[in-house]
Amino acid sequence: MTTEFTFPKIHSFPPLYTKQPNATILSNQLDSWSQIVLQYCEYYKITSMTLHGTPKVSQLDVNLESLPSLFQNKTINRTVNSDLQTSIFNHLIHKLNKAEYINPKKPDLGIYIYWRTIVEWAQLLYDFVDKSGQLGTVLTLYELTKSEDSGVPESLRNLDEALLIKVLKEVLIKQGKAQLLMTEEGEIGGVKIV
Amino acid sequence: MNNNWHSDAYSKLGQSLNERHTDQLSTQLSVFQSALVNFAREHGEEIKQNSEFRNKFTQICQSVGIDPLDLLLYSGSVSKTSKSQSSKTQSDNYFISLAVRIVEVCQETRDINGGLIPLKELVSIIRENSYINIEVTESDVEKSLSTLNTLGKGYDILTIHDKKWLKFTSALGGSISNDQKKVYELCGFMGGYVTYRLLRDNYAWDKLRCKTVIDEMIMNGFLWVDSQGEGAEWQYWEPSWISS
Repeated sequence: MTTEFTFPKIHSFPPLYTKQPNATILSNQLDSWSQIVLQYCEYYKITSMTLHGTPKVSQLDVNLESLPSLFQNKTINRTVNSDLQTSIFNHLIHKLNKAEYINPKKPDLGIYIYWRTIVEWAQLLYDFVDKSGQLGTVLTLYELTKSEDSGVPESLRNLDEALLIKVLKEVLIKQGKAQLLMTEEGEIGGVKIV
Repeated sequence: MNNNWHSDAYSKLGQSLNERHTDQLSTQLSVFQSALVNFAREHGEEIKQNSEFRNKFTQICQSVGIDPLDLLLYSGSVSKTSKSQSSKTQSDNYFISLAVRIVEVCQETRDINGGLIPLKELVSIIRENSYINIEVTESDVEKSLSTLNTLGKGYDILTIHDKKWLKFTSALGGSISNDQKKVYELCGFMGGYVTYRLLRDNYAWDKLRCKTVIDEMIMNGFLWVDSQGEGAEWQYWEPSWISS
């Protein structure tokens, strides 16, 4: 990736980095931040973050540490403190349903950011398997997102395996569209999408 | 290896076909849209008189993504300076539809700016939001507001520091005090913000007066708080900075 993400102008508005005391303004501020987080993650195909807004997993082959910082703006010398960070993520999780704890029992593991919802991910996955004529075939997780010659579309390439499993379990299996085949060791040996 | 190359070539071909198709469609769409605009200008009278015709026309507009209000604005803006009788109604229509737009923008931005918006910003939002290029000017907005105010007060023009603002009061009821005006005036000088110290130095206000005005303005949504200013002094920003 050669061009850096362009933050919207409001990202350089100094008060955006201070939690606003007026409730109406605050809710607007959290909406603005949520939009920034979603756009940023979509641009860099980041599917999960730490609770401090550091990217954890991206589909792109980039050095995540080299990305511009989300919650810190060096030009105007402002940083989002952890209290406001928590409010932003709570807004994304509970108000907008655009994020979710990776493991609700261990919040420190970070959160998934849903610039694409898991239902949308499931649809992409299903469409790919359908269009490539592989419905009913047993596929490995590798073949679903990584394999070079199975025609995996750009949108699914290198999707985080943990998220992939979540999509399979929470959407496709529930819809009766997928089955998991487990190995003797209890790992996922293959997936059948029907 | 060979297989790989083939599938690659196929997907490239598919992509370029898709792109070409999209290009063609969007050209067709914009041709159709501009045809509609012309049609509305030529047959404006008929559209107005025949309600069935008008319904159909509005449906077509919506299905291709043109807001019928834009058309009204557009056809009005062409004739707003002319003096003949038919264009008089058209120009009335223009100021009425402009008033609708003004109300829309004020509602949409109220949560950010507390109902106080620079006239310049208002005009540029109206221009940006419409599909057709409409020459709206600040004086058009002022004229249009006089139409609005016949429906009851609520929209006022203020001049603060040589800059015109539209104050939209129906939401909050209150009006802007002189002290609040002065805060905005100083914001204008300082590139967007004030601090207690700046207020003291410029207006010789004591701390209590500063606090009363600032707190009130925060409550009304006219100012945003910034606790990370230089020297740990709190700054209070006026939100029109975001879009100006």
